[in-house]
Parts: sequence; C-alpha cells; structure tokens
Amino acid sequence: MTTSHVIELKSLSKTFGNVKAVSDISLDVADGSFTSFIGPSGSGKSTLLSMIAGFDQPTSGTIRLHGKDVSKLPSSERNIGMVFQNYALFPHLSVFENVAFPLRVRNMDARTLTSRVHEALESVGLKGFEARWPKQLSGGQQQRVALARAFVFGPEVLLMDEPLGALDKNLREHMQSEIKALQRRLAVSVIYVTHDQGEALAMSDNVVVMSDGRIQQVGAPAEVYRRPQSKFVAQFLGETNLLEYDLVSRGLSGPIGRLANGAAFVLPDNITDAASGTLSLRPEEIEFADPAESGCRHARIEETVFLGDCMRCRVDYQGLPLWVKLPATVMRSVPRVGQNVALHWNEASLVPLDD
Amino acid sequence: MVRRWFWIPGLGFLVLFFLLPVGAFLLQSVLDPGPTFMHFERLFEGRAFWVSLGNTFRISITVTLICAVIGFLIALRIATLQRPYANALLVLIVMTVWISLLVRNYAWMVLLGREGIISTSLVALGIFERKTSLLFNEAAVVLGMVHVLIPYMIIPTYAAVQAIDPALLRACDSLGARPAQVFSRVLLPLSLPGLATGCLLVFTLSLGFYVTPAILGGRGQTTLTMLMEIEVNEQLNWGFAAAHAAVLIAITAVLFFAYRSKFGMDRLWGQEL
Repeated sequence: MTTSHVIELKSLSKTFGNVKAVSDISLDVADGSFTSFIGPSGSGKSTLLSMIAGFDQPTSGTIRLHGKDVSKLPSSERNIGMVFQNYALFPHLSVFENVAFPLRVRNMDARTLTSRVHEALESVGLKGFEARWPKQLSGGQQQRVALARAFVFGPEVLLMDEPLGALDKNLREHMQSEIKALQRRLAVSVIYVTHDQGEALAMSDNVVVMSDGRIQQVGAPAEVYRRPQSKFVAQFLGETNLLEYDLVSRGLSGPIGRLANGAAFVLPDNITDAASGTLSLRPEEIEFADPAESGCRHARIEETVFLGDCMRCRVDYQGLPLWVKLPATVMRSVPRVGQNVALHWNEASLVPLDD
Repeated sequence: MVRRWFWIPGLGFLVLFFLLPVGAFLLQSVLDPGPTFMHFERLFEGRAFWVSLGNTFRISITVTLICAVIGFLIALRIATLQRPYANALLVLIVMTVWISLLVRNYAWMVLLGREGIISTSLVALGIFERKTSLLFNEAAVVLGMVHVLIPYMIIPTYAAVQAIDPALLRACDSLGARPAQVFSRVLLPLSLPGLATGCLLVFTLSLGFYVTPAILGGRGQTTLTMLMEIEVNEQLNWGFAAAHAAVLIAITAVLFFAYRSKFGMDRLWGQEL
C-alpha cells in the first residue's frame, strides 16, 4: 500500500495516573514535510513525540508509520531517528563511533559503515572531527553529531525534541537554517517539538499548535499566523490585540460592531451571527495616520519600546489599550509618549476568533 | 590562613596509629633478630607460602568475580527503582557492614553445619541420604566472603550506574539497539569505572581476609593471613610473620597503582562518576 503520509495518528490518548497528557489526537503528517509541534510546557507535545518514538505506550489509539501500525512495536524496531534536547551522545564513544552506533547494531559491513559515517559527518560539517570525544565539542558541534547519528541509518522519520533549546540565540538561528537545509537535501520527514514559536514559524511546512493535550490548530505557518482560529492560537503565535465587540447591525456596507469603548466599526464579512465575539488584530496591522483626516480613530501614545528593527507602542484608543508595531523604516519621526495619533487598519486584518 | 594547618591532626593520627605500628611491624621482617633477609628466604623457599599464596589468590579472584556479577545485577536493579526505594535498599546494604564479621560467619556455621537448616532440608527433600556438613570447604569460604564483601561492590557500581543519563538508554532504543546490545555497548562500558573500583576494593579486602577462611574453610583454604596468625600466636616468630605481611602489602600496592594509572584516583572516592 502506498501512502503519502509518513505518520498517521488516530484517536491517540495518553493518561498518566488521572492526568490526561494527550487526549484524542488524530493527525496525518505528509511524507517529506517539516512539521512542528508547538505549545506551552504541559501541552502534551513532548508526550506525543515520546509515543511516536516508542518511549511511551499510548493509553488508546494507533500510530501508523508509512501505513504500518507500530503502536505496539518497541522503539528499537520502529526505524525512527531521534535528536534529544541534551544531545544524549555516548560519552565513552568517539564522534565516529557515536555516528556509527546505529549501523553497528544493524551489523553493517565495515566498509559501507565507514563511508556512511563519513558522509553523514560531512553533511553536518564535521569532517575531520571523527576522533574527537563528545566532551571536547561545543554545544553546536554536539548537536550536529546527534543529528548525524539520527539520520545516518536512513530512518523513516526524524524526531527532534527541542534540539536547539540549549544553544545561544545566534547559534540557534544558524542551526535552524542548517537543519532546514539538511532536511531538504535528505528529503526526510521531520517532526520537531519546540516551545519557541519563532523557531516553528521559521522552519516548518506545517505547525501543529497544542494546548492541554489537544490540537488547537494545524496549518502552514503563515496561514496559522494570519488566520488563528482561537484566542489561544492568536496569543500563543506572535502578539496580538484581542478586541471584544457587540454586533450592532448587519448594515448595507457590512456588519457593524461596537467595541467596549463605544467605538463603532465595520466588521469582516465572515463573522458569525452571535451577538458578541472576539477579533484578533495583529499590532503590525495597525498604522498611524494623519490625525487631521476625517473619520479616523484618535488615540494617544502611552508607552514606546524601541526594538531596533521596529518599535512597539502602547496606545490608548479612547479607553482601550492597544499595541501597535511599526517597522523602523516607516517612522518618519520617532513617536513620543503623550503624542496624539490616528489609528488606521484594514477590515481584512480583523480575524474573528472562536470562544 | 587556618586552613593550612587543618591536615596536621589527621596526618598526626595516621602517623601515630597507622604508619608507626605497621612500619615497626614490617621492619621486623628484616631486623629480627638483627639485620637479615632470612625470613624472606625461608618464606620463598617454603612450600606452605606458595600454596597459601595460591589459595589466597584463587579465593580472592573467585570472590571478586562472583561479587562483580551479583553486585552489578543488584546495582542495575536498584538504579531502576524510584529514589526512596533505592535509598532504603542502599541503607540496608550498608547496614550489613555494621554487623560483626564474626557473628555473620558463625551464622553461616549454624546454617551450613550438619544439623543446620540446609542440610536437614536437603535430607527431607531426599537429595541427601543423611545429614552432611557443608562446612570446611572452598564453597563455604567463598559464600561467606561474598556475603561480607558484596556491599563494597554494590556501592561504587550503583554510583556509576545511577549516573548514566537515562536519555542515553532511550537514544540506544531509538537507534535500533536490542536490549543485549544496549547492555554490552553502553550500560557495561559506562559502568566499568564503578565496577573496577568495586573489584579493587573487594579483591584487596579478600587478600587480607582472615576470619572467614579460618572459620568456614578447611585445609585447602589456608591463606596467607592464616599462616601469619600461626607465626604470631603459636610460633611467636614476628619477623617471619612480618615477611608474610610485607608480601601482601606489596601485592596490594601494585594493584592499587595499576588501578590508579588506568582510572585515576578520583574514581575511588566516588567523584566524577
């Protein structure tokens, strides 16, 4: 049977004592894709990865790997590569032997083994490090060894559990693009667990946002970022302003809503008929307009935070606090605290949320 | 700078109560009655010395190997337990060291004797025809010594096993290693320093063991320490006894330095495991 899914999870649940770590998760992961599980700690993302790897047995549900039910198989028979947060390199083995480990336990002949290990080390940029010991390597180098060890035996899927968590920011960003490039070159499916939403957005073809053991939303990074479905997703991925409104009327020019501060505005067409609701408005979707213009929304700058490439301003929009994010290039003059401004946003950037 | 003088009481104690008496005793091997090598000549010429040296080594090696296998298995098992249970078991193991050696060896005499529970049970089961003493042979000596010495194997081995990152075992699993391969390729090599420490402790303690072979052993289990005891208590030949002791100490020292050059001293005190 051929299938385009590397992993299919069906009604997967895991209970520890009376705590539901993962409840009823069903998910298909496309072959060759880079998929991230993101969520706050305790959201169940690591437990989910653990079950796919075979370290934890699901309480109920099935895990299929390329169509084959592996739910009952021990980890060692699943042919899954895993990169651990703390690298988990064998301290008593050299770099070469660490990478050779999965091939040795498969009894590969010496010549193929040597060339495969050299190839793997070369592709992570560690040619010439064969004789070193893990202790002699930097964090980034250890991570590369762990990576080489995890893919050298041609696993069906590569699992990564917060692999860059222990690295400093610059190195982390560098490793992100390296891992991404390697994944494309090897055309291997990757499941990546992180609590860093920026990392997930930067690397993934698909993100799976989790909280409380459930999947909140699945989609391409841009789609999930632009069209969050729930308050949780809107707030967890990036920053946002949540606007609570009451539906006033469904006028000719579209539905009209009223904010808590009394301001009326045009709602997007796709809102439900409920009497009230919540909208997400990303800070970067708000612009400062000329206050002299008619019909504009007057606000006052309360706080400014300079971030280098952009500036975050907290404004008071007639009693409603809003965050506005301005790219550095747009700022003709540096906004000052106390300055009166007019706010402008496009109706299309208002995203209705569930709950 | 008070710290600088801290080592003086300790050193003084060692010199006064260890180095001086042991040194004075050892010196007798070459100074009793006058400067002489006759004790060593007599020692190396006599058959009794070589036989008992052989006995001592054979028993010590057997005891060390049995302790290593059983101790490693016990340490592995304890390491998989939850912390409170593991600690409770370790306390129990250490507590056995507090019970007098003599008491424990006499307990084996009672158990293994002709009227002991083992002998009578075997007769009741029809395995033995009549009550038999299981004492005064090498198995009894080895059994008694393993019983006494196994804590010295378990403690350092447990320290090594317990320090192994559980993520390494999961890494083994994910990389396709079967349980036997996990054991031989990762668990055993990473436990080796602890096992070596345990072996050094058990082996050197075995070399100097007296009570167990004397009580539970027979003619074939005469060890160097038993020869020494005869020289000191019966022959009153202190110089000759000191020559025995010098040989034992020399052997222990060689083993100790061999260990140090291979594993370093820190390991013996349980650091950096």
